[in-house]
Amino acid sequence: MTRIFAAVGSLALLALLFLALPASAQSKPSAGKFSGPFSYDASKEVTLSGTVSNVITKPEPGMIMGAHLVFATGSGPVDASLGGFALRGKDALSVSAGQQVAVTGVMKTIKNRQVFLARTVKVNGQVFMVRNEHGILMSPQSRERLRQSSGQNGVQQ
Amino acid sequence: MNRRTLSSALLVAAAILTASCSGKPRVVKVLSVNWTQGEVPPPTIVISTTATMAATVTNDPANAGVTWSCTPGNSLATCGSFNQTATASGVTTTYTAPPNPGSVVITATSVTDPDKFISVNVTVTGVPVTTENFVFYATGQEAAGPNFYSLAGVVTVVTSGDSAGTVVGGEQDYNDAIGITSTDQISGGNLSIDASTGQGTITLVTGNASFGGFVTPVGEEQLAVQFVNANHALITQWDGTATSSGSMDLQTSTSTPSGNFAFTLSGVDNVSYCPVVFGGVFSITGGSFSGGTFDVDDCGSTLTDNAFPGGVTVTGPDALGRGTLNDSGLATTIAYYVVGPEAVRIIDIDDADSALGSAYGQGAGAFSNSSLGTFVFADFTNPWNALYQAAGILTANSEAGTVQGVGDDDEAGFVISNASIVSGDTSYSIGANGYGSLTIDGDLGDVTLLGIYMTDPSLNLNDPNNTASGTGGALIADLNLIGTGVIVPQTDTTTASFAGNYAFGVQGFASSNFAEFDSVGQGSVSSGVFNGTGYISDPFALFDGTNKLFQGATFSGTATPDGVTAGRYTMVPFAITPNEADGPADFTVVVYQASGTQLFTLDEDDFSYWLGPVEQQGETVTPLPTARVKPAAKSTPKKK
Repeated sequence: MTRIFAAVGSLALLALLFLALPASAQSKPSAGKFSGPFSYDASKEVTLSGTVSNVITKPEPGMIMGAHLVFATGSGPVDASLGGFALRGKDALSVSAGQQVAVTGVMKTIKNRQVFLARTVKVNGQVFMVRNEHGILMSPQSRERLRQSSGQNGVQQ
Repeated sequence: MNRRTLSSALLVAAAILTASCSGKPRVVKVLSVNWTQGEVPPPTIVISTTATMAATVTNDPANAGVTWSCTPGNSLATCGSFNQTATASGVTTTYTAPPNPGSVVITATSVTDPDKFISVNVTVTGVPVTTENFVFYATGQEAAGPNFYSLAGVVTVVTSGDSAGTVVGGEQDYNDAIGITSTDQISGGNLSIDASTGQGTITLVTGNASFGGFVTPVGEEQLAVQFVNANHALITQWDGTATSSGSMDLQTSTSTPSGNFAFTLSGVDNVSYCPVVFGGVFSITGGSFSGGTFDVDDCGSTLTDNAFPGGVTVTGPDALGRGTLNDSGLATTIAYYVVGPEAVRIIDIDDADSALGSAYGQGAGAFSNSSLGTFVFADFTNPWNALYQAAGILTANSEAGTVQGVGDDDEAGFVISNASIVSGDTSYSIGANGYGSLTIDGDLGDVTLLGIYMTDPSLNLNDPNNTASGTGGALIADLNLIGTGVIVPQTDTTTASFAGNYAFGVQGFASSNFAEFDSVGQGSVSSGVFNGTGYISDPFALFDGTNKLFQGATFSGTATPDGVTAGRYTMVPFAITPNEADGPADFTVVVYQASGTQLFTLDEDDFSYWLGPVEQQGETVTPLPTARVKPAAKSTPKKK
């Protein structure tokens, strides 16, 4: 699960706070609206810029699947979901702590928690596609096909 | 240069000269010899009996036909004889088998170009044996890449006598759309089954060097099989090179499909290797495709209610029940394998896109909203998308066009458990042709739009040769999350019915990296307590960090009715040995019961998510006459 943190160092504390939130659908039937992690409304996209503080390749229990990019913005740290493919395979996203990034995506609330689904990550002047406009994760094979068809590697200049 | 080569060279040279002198483009049509459809030599034949066969020569300027020969010896005593040793293209000859058992090779050779011929190995048996054809299909992930792949085919197995279990023929299509797209002849192999459990393996010798090489020789695939009854097995590829889930079913017809069909097809597209799903209805009349309606979600772009284009053509089927559907708008070429008159497996065999699915007959149907009552639904992710699994129990209100019930949904470790699905958030409709849809507005996560395609009420969608139980329902396509599944009418929710011996299948994924694992197995349920054993295919070594293949893995749990929804159980904890290296030691499993014969399990926890069928076993769980058990194997070391 992607979250917005007041500070990266407070991740554990906030995790505890999140655990205290009602687990509304875990144990008994309940009628309610649940937005899953895979629907993506491109009309709600925003771009957030900041400095990378951490690249998480192995999510902690309860986090949304796949890799995460934590970066500091003027409003505080943002934990962006990169999915399971961005850091894998040929032409994977290369990003590390200290680099400046601009991440375009959609902030969602999933089961009472905020999630920032990254669609693109701009780093070193290149835009790396994490998801397509429908939120579908771009696999290494997808990046290769796009590179072959457009002369790019899933990366937009 | 021998005489055959010289004659070929002269023919080609003549063709080129002719083309050059005419001033037209140099198009050289190559002469070829193939078996005539429906006249392929049989893989086995009994001593001194006969079989007809024919060969077709294409691009033969002399239209001179073929000559027939056999080895060894080319005589009746050694390899058999032909009543006509030379025939025109497409004209049959009658072959008589030799008087003694053995292996022979039958060859048809072009008269015009003796370098062009076609041969087949035929097993001559001493006593009459019975063979049966089984159609198999499975889809999953290759260890290399990993890539998506689909596999479908038909295999001929000896089912009587001393050679029972021997694979004597078949054909298959394999497609990963990223380097391996092939149609292969199956020339050998072996089916080994424990007659008491129905559990075993089948090897398929293809000669294709793209397959095997881990625990099987190069060119050979191995599937783990779990027979539910003598006609139906759950399967997973179990050789370390790829993993997948599917089924294998007795073939009861090789005739051209005819009538109205519902279908789903799921895989990767040709543009960006992106997940894609199709679902819809169509008709085939007299071997001709006569249109229909389909939905598609391609890489997140959903288009519903599309008409099939004109000009769709159907070829075949051949003697093994394989044919093609061309220019359907779903793919350039789809191969189909006939299981029976109302059950067909379909596989996209284009080299840049791949998909797998089924088409089922719709019977006499006129359908309507009333076609849905109370039902269990199981919604499987596309193994390339690998994002979710969902299941539940819903009751339809046909007049209002709504459903209500409960469901469970694991979206890559993001669990929505036992969620209420309320009628006010739903809407459905079913047309007279069985084409319909269901929307769920937020009660079950991103499971929001399902295409529904009704099937013959007398068909069991998991076990298409079973007309006695578990019949009726529909195919579904998840048009938001990109997956497929089934709807099965719920007919029995009593816990007393959930007892006896069951076969099960699992297609699961690790939440962290989408890596797939699969399992087939068997066990018993007594007073809700389940204990079973089975095979696990784990090419990504998720379970113990080292091994890829497990035989004799154990599965156990106690099914506890949830007390509110009849037919829903939890199995917490659900234990599997070996345990996974990285995650909770036990799984969180939910069971949905359509009847005592047909259920589904869904795993919902942080580490993994799976969905799979649970089917009550019959009294006979093997098509073979005796137990044919391979030597006990332990887990296979991971190849370095």
